Amino acid sequence: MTDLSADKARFSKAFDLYYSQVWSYCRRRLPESEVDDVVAEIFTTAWRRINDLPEEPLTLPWLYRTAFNVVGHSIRSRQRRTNNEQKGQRPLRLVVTPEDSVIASDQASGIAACVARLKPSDQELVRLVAWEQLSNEDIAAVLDCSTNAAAIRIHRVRERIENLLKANQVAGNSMDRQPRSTLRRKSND
Amino acid sequence: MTEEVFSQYQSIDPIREVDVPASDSPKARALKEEILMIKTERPATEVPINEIQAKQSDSKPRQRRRVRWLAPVAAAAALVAATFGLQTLGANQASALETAVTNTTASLNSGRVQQTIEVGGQTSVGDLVFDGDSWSFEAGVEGVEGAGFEATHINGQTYVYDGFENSWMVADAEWTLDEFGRPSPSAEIVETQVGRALAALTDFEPCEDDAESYCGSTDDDALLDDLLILDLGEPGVDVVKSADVRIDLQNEMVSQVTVEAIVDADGEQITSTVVETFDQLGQPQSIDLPAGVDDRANGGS
Repeated sequence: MTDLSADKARFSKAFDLYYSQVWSYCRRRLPESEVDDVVAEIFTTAWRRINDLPEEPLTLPWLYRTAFNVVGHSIRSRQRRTNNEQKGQRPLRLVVTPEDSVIASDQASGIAACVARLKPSDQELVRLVAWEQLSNEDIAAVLDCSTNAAAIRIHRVRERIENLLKANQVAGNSMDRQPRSTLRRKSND
Repeated sequence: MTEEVFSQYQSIDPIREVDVPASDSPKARALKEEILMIKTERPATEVPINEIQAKQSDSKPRQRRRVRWLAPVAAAAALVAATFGLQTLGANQASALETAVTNTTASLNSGRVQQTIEVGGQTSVGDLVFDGDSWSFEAGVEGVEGAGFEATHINGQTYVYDGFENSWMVADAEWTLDEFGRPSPSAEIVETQVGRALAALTDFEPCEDDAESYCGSTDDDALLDDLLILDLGEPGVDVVKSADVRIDLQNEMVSQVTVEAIVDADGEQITSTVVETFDQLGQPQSIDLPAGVDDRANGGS
């Protein structure tokens, strides 16, 4: 088998195994209209950098890491396009509130609101754990840190969310007012 | 409660309501074929990226210089530079940057700094765009989008972050992009700027005992979250409160990074130290991890 054939075989295998997961990763963070282009960009990068594409079990984390970069670039590009019309608004980073999230419960909506208040890197960590359901080892590979570091980072994010939830609870108990979260269901108003 | 956080967040996963295309769907198959065509249309040599860079180095001395100092920056960035990069610039810092650029860049126009770039041998013009929080690059050149790099501008100097390489580089008035849209430093780059960049990005100052080293401390959350410092603690138990960081340069290159962190370990404050050294090519040589246990045994402060 020639080098080119071997490269094609490697790429095809990675593509077949992970296309759906990479597509899902992008769909969770981008409007549907942008997903296919971004997925194409990610796999094109993987193909052009086939020599850098790691063997299993690091292939998917590498693709997620590339996706993180490309998705971030897509979000920033979109933000720049809209910035001129929205002077004064804080720019989007990797802060994504899915447009079509389905709110399962009040508690989930509260958590979603808390997550939205975290810094972008922490939000991404939450998504990797909850949505991509990666192990600590895989998250470490995506973030390019040790498994120990990933575990601590996850622990700290959990703490931050819990603290925010407690703060919200205190505020809710002390003030009889309409919920501020736009994610709450109307029936709770 | 905390254990429920992620499972609750999972319940709002937007993908639950979406039909995810399979890899054997017509759309996916078409994409794969299209991508594989890209390379078959390329020259038959199929030169790996590192060989391309090596060839560029042969023809452009500045590329060789990039190889020398990018590696230590990439490693050190994990500790220092990246944490103060675009992901963590606060409003005050962004405001300071804006002021700096206003004062030093004549071509600034409403948050845009015009930059000359070169792609595939063709010179084009792009904009460094300040979006109110960070700088990024809009090249308007096909193939550049998605390169995963950003730039920031401090005290009149542009620093470019390459997401693929996970490294910072110093750019000047003119810089180039390779065929994959990755930025290359300009010929004007001076290696000592690496040290200056680290200093500028982290508010570090030359150490009292050695002007060639940079010392600083931080309680910045982003830095404390960062990689090596986190390794000082034990998951779920220890929380790093603050850290003193020392960056030693040798021949104007990063030779050693020392982090001394105050760790709140289960209510007890201890001091932990981690040292990472780099060889002449900037490759990490040794990592002493974690030192917290030893310090604790010694009754660390």
